[in-house]
Amino acid sequence: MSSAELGTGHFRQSMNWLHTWAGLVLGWLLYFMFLTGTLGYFDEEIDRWMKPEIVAVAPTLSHVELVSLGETYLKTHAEGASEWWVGLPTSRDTSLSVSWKTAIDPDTQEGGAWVTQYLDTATGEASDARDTGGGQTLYRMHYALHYMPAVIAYVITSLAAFFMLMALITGIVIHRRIFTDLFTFRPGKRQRSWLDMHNIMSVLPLPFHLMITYSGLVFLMFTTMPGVVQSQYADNSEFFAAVFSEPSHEAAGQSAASLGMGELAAIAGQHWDDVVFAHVGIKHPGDQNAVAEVYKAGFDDILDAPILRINAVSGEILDESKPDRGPAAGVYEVLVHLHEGLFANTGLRWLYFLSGMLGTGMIATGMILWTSKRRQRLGKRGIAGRGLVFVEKLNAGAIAGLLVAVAVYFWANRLLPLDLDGRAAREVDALFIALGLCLFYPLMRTVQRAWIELLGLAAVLFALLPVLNALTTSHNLASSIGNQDWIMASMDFSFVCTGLILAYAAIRLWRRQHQSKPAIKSVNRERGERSKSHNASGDSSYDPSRDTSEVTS
Amino acid sequence: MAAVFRKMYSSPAMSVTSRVIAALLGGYVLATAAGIAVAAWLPGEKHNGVIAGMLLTFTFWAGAVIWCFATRTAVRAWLGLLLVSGLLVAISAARGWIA
Repeated sequence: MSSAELGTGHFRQSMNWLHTWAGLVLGWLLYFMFLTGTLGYFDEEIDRWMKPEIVAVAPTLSHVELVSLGETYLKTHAEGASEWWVGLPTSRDTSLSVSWKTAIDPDTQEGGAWVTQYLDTATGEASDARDTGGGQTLYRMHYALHYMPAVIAYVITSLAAFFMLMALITGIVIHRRIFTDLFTFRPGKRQRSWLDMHNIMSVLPLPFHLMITYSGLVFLMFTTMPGVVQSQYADNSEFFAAVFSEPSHEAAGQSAASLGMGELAAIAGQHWDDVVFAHVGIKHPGDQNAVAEVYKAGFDDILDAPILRINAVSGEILDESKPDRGPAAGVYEVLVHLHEGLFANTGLRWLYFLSGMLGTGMIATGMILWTSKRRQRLGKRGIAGRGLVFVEKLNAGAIAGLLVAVAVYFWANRLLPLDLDGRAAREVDALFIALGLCLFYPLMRTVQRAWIELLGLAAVLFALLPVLNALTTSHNLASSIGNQDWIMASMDFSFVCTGLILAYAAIRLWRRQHQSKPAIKSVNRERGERSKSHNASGDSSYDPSRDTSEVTS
Repeated sequence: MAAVFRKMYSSPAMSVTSRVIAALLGGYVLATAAGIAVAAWLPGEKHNGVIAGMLLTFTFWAGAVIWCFATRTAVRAWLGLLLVSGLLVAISAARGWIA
């Protein structure tokens, strides 16, 4: 690694070096984190697509009726559970669900697991929803990765986020004309064009990038910065009790007749003046100390909405507001909520998604820029070293390959047998097998061919998802629109759009390759023909494997 | 011996490696020391000071990394980290002596 820029005493040059290497070293992991995390802004919508058996709730039913419906199911199927919950339909989730926490056997200590079922409101019975990781698993990967203990993943993803933070800070330092560059795009100028694109994708949503990176670090700080807690507390659990504790209500062990969940929901409805609920639950159902908890759908601006606690036996309201844990805890809460964006309405959610995609693009263009700069520096005489070719191939395999892999995850959801053992886990396996194959694929192709073919494959896979959906389920674009199942319809529509965008990228690359002669089949041949191809490559394109000519500015 | 050490240490690769270790490990230690100093001195509830300290650790760490790569030599990078970390530990310890 060249270190000529270090130790010169020129601040900007040193920061340029740091920007280059902090960005490259964990760049592929960051790309993975940004892409899967950005998809997470639509986790519930993806869930809906991946659970096609769920029946959308008829809008004619009231909250109280829905909660009562859920309770009826829980009474027959979850007797003795320590908690009952009914999940009500919201703007992002049109399903009615019930969950319960199974009782813990005092002898064997077994139990305590959560079970969730989706109900068909017409019959009151559970829909036989397929076993799938859904959008939740996809979004969890952006910080918990996969195939490893969570704590190790947190350390790895935090380190990557810290590298991202350094790349952002140094990026700002080395940027002389940060405002002008926002309006600068010089297409068809090879490395300059990549630089301009990198700048636009970085600078325009810079506040988002800084926020999402810093809040990501803050999210996991209890794992990554344990020294600060240990310095002030002999026992860590004392600290976590002060920060995270909720009022707890123990079971009395004596049974008592409690109000119905529908009645409790009605009490909450009166108290809150008919606000929309997301969850109604009851802890220790049937016990003398049974407590109902009611969660609003949505937030109080960016802060958590208060939770209403009701004595389930008497119907008396116990408490409503959240405990105030002090200003620093408040800052923590705001940062975490900014990161999750759960408070965002549809418009803001799309802005989150767009910003996240620009961040993903910033990382991808940064990685490509690293290679194109080195190609440019090689000039006429140069032969690409192993490191450069390796990064070029890995770029194609990782950047285009992850798009293929995510599409394969959706395909696996529809194609794996419904009764397959550990089906949800196999879906994720399919994603990573696809990613692994895509990483190897460029080794057998030239870099530019690998880009075209992998992007083309991703385009086809995404564009055909609605067709697959229509063939394997009772849902298709027309029926979804007819049933007013807007989430299912939007997902199918978004898949087609994604496919078209990727197809455009693939076709553009393909055209450029065929406009510029002679086509070069392999890196080895390229070395021999470099002088010839240089003269011929007077086209106005950059292509990662063959950019040998100097930039004209 | 000193000459051998100096020669080895003045090689660019060695300098970069040394700076990277300083930035990551040294920077992390400095950031933790800074978080502890904030937690020790911030008035109000104890858990609140701890959270404030943790929130700021990443800012201090980032500052330390910039220092490690901006300064002229790797040795200076380490010395700077040691100096500031020592200072931060002293500040935290002073809290204990006063109280």
